[in-house]
Amino acid sequence: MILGPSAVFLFLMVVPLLDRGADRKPGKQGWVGWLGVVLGIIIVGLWVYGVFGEAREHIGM
Amino acid sequence: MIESARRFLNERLALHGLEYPVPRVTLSLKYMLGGLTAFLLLVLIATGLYLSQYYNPTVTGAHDSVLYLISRAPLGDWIRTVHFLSAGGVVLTVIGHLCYTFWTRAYKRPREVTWWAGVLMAAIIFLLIVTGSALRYDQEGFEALAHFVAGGNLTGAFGRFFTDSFTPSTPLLTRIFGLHTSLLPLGLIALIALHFWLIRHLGIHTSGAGNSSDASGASGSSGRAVPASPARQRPACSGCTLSASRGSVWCCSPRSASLRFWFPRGLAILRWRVWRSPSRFGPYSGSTALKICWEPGG
Repeated sequence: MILGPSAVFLFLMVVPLLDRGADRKPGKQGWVGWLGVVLGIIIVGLWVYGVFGEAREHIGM
Repeated sequence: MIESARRFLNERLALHGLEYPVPRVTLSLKYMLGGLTAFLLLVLIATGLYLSQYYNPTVTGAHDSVLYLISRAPLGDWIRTVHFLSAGGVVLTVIGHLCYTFWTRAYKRPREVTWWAGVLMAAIIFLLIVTGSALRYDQEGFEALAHFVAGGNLTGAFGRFFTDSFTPSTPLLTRIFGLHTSLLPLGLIALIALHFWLIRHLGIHTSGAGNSSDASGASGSSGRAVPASPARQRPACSGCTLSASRGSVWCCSPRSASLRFWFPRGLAILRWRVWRSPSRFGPYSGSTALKICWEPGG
């Protein structure tokens, strides 16, 4: 609950600092873009797991 | 009469300041996600103001006030549903806007601050969604509140606001209500103002639409505003400009009476048709009506 959103928003905040190359074409983000893609896949995967996975106690973990 | 009223308002409120050129390519859904978000936020503010008149932010009265709102307040159930669905819509449009902006690298110089303001707005919207869930104070709301307390305990002094130990004078639910209806919306409005200001002066990044440079009526690597090619421009008030720079629903083109775009493009599953009513609103009115009709199957 704390770490997930913090990691996502922290990554989004530093994106302009990480991707400072002169190339402006879309889809050529290099490792920053692919890191974003991987992060997105992880978020969607965890969301699907949260929806369909077994309910369990998680508060206070 | 409407035309004279428009001229009256335009002259006194300097609304012509909103009629600046934007690239023609922005007349597509992917460029309207920010404007759609702003429009849905306006709906959320309007419906939220109404809901707050009936909501009782106390532990003993919160859930009963929600039940009263649903069952007895005039249009309460309908307005609450609009509030709920608009919140869901905002999540979708924000995620879409964020992903498209990220993929087209619109955060690059000189629009870093525009991006940061947008990310902070997304974070505030995330908090608004979570606090709004807690306010219902049903089973799900209670669980959301328990998450606040757990998160507050995990983060120590930083998250102390979200625990009962912050102050014995005011319940956590009441403070969450205050957060949801005052502090977070104020922060959001300030960031929206900054976001719009920057978009107005730095322009819209359009490299994802085929031109690798910024043809948005602004920018360039120097950050200095430069005019875009006239062939690519239209006044910002033309077309179905649900653009972030306007933040409201404006339409339609002074020259074309009908504008169609496909969603998803090419599949023809749903077709939105947007058109104006020239006989009622005049050919150059920025306040012409927006009519959307869904035509399943294209």
